[in-house]
Amino acid sequence: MFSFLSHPEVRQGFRDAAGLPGIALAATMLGFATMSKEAGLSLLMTMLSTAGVWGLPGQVAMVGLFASGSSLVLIFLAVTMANMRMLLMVISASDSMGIKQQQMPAWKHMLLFHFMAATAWLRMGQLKGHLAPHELTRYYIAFTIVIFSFSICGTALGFYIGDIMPSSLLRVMIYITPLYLILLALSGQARSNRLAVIFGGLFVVMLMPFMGQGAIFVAGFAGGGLALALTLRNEAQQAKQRGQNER
Amino acid sequence: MSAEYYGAAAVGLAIIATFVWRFLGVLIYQNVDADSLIMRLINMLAYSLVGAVMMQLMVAPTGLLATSALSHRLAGLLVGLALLAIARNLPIALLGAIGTFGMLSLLF
Repeated sequence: MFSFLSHPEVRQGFRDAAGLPGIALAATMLGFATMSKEAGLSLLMTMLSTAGVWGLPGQVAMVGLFASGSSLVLIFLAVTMANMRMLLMVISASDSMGIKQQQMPAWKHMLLFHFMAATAWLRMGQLKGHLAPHELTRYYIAFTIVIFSFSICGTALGFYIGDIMPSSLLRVMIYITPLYLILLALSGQARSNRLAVIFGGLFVVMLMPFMGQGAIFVAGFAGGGLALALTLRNEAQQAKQRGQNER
Repeated sequence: MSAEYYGAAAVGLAIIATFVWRFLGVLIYQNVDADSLIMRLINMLAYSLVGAVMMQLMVAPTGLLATSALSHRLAGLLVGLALLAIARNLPIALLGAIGTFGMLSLLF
């Protein structure tokens, strides 16, 4: 335990998460808990959804449909669609952390990635290359412990004090998550990643009027595919130019 | 089904629905080569999907956020993007965007 804490990347993870990311997630979960209570879920169920789902869009979809009395099948499908990005984020973050090289047992890998959400994943993307894979893993654990704890506290707090807070303030708190994640994703160094975020965001806005919920998938896949195609073309052009210069 | 059981079932299914994706991610990762084009594609798709999901929450939210005006949400986002481009500082961009959205929501 103490040897884990002695690593500088662990302390950096704690410090980084206790700032903007922790506050943003705590505020959002506070807003979510208020929605959940209004919908009729108990404190235990509200806390369980934060701890067990750990992905705001899925949690919001679940509570919204629960409040309207939708069927359980519809709730399952909506959350499945809203949280599909987890699949790609887990693969991408496992690669950044070099899980194969670390020869981590599958159960540990699974446990580690239960706590993977967009905030931590975007941070991993920014630090990839700056920290060695095993250091990045330690950073991720420290970062996640803090944002998860903040979120659980925010959820409990929201359940109790959400009622007495003005709705204008609660709206701001819920607004923080999409805003924070969009800005965080666009503040990264890699141009190709920023392109993918921009294309995904633009395509979903264009497609939503025609496709509803399905727009997320089409926009996500088209945006990511286009960003990769442009990046590959760019790399090919640069390689060609380098070749010409060398001659 | 009583409301209590309905709530527990909804939360339980939401947990399973999310767990399945994470579990599949762990399984698939074992079979994807780290330096392959597929890994690059997966990474790009993940960024794009995060952009798409967050923009959808921004443009067509449900719940309490849906009671705010779209123009206020977009104004906040635009201020945040402009500040990010100019100041290249995430906390400043975030504060500017939240301030804009909060002020507009209170005033109008």
